[in-house]
Amino acid sequence: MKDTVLEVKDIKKEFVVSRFGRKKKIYALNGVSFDLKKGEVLGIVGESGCGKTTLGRVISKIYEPTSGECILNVEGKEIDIAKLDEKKFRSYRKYIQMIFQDPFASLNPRLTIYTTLYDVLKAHGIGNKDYRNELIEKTIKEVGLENYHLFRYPHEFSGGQRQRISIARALILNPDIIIADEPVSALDVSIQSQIINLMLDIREKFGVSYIFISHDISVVRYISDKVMVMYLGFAVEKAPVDVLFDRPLHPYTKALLSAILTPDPKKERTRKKMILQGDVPDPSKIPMGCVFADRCPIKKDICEKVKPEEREIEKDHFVSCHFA
Amino acid sequence: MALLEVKNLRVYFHTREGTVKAVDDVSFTLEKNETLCLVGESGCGKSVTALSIIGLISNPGKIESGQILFEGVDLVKLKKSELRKFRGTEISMIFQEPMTSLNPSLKVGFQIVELLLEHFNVSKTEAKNLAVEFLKKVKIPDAVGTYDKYPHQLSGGMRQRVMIAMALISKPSLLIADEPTTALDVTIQLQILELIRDLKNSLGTSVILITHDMGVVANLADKVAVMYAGKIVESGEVFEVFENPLHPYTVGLLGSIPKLDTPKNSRLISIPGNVPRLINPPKGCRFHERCSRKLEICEIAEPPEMTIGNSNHRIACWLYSDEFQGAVDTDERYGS
Ligand SMILES: Nc1ncnc2c1ncn2[C@@H]1O[C@H](COP(=O)(O)OP(=O)(O)O)[C@@H](O)[C@H]1O
Ligand SMILES: Nc1ncnc2c1ncn2[C@@H]1O[C@H](COP(=O)(O)OP(=O)(O)O)[C@@H](O)[C@H]1O
Ligand SMILES: [Mg+2]
Ligand SMILES: [Mg+2]
Repeated sequence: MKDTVLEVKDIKKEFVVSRFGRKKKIYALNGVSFDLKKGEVLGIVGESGCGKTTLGRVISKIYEPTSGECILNVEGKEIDIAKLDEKKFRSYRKYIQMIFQDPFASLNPRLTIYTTLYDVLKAHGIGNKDYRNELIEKTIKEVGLENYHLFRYPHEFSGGQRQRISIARALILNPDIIIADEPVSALDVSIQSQIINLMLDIREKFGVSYIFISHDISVVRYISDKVMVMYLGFAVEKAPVDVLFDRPLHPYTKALLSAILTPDPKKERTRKKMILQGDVPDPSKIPMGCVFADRCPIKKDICEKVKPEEREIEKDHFVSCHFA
Repeated sequence: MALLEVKNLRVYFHTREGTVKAVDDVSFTLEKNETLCLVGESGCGKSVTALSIIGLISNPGKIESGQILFEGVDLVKLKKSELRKFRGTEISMIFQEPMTSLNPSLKVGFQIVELLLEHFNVSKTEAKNLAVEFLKKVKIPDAVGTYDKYPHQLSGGMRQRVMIAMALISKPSLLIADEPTTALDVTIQLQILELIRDLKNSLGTSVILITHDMGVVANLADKVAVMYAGKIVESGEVFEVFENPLHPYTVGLLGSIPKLDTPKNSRLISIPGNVPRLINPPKGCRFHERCSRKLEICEIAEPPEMTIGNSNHRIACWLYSDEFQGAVDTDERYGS
């Protein structure tokens, strides 16, 4: 499709870890597919360990997928970046940028913000010195900081400001896609909303697409156009945001939405809650049937034996459940 | 008599860079069978308040002044040895990361048995049975199996259940829970909140729950105290405070959370600036630099604490002071 910037097809990722000298496989992603349109925000939710970070890192080529395709649609052509080696990928890196939960860990503590941004442009061979300086000054304003901030070091900033800096570092390359992995999770509530507002402004102004990864479903609902719900390396449900919140189909999605606490004591205490039993299973032993079966309140025999196929229930609303 | 009355508590940390006024003139009361939530952003003094109650403030920290009356006894005045009669017995505490308070090299069951032997006059076999009973009480599905596991073999949610079991073994009158669900996934958080509520009701324990999450407050609290930079800026019955938040900080905090009915493509309320450091806190009202309704007086003098209406809704903000009602009017006139 013309306005699709990224199409991810059946991505699998296994890690091999060794514990006490014994090797075992971790099935972090078990065949995840989605597409992302220009200017669209895809929210990815799911509990810790369900593979959100791994997916983000596969798409941005920090990890190699075990199998699957990541088709990037830029410069008027379609390239499967999953197949590219490091060297061939280099010229495409600028199209996909990443923001992390802990901006401090991702900024070089010994470099001023100016040097950090300058090096990014230089590494990608963008512009000459004057053009780079101009771009740096422009970008730092876009993220709500001032010129004098450029000559400071990361430790001189607060958490929220550091996240602004990492947004600047991503934005300065004029990317088509920004993958944000829990970008506000480490920030205080009053600062979270500053960063979310900034990300929305940037989307509006530059038409960048986001993959917004978070365990905070209220934030995801607010920022996303569509949402993918993950469980143990599977995408169990995908839908436009309003559809997902109005008509969730997968029992796990229902439980997840039910676990959102409403900051209103009257509503919070009267709403019907669905309290799940148990914990997420071990990612080294993927069950034969549905991954959610052992916690599912509507489980039947078939669920433990047969993996549900993904079905499109209504337009753009996909679910993997025998009984949805 | 209230179960706990904290009066004008001041806890400072004397560090090389200066004095951190972590808790600065904090007062609140907790009745029997009540749940109080202390809510605020990181570094505002929630944990230090809790640690003061349980007697765990140590160098470079010091309780500078104030009283902590527990059933009428001032814990601040007690000697270390006398405090021990309360800590872990009358008052128990659980933390965000249960691993910090569990011994990683001992089986869970063994750790519970040790505690039981310390608190009750029971034999080893009786203690074993009781331990399994407590694990069942906190709704651990496989209580017998869990008894024989090491902490690292349990999930975060299960570890937190074990911690709650251990905290409740002595049948304390007060349970302090410091961000008990912050490190947990949302579906597990809901399980733990339900558990705390059930246990509180069945055991009659009073609870102080510390959180940064207004959703948790809405779920569990009877009363709420909002902290900002070492002070309580607003407090009251939870329904009253959420329905009628008065302090600009409380209003901002509630507004900055996306709610299910926040329209898309709108912008969230955000509070400009950053949480101040407590070495040199802002003069006057500590929130004034970030406050959209600041008056001149706010930069100069600390706001008095006052009660609004005839409820126990309390607030420390110049906007609501009779003395300065005139100033508000002027401000609004200029604003319009
Ligand atoms: N580098 C790695 N090596 C081994 N296992 C990993 C690695 N990264 C992630 N995993 C495992 O893959 C699974 C998915 O992890 P992750 O993508 O971090 O989940 P999430 O971000 O949703 O919390 C987890 O079981 C995790 O332990
Ligand atoms: N041991 C310590 N030494 C110095 N400062 C401390 C110490 N413990 C806490 N503080 C300071 O006290 C203030 C309040 O901390 P705390 O009560 O932990 O905040 P929170 O509300 O996040 O629980 C913070 O500014 C913190 O830096
Ligand atoms: Mg992650
Ligand atoms: Mg704390």
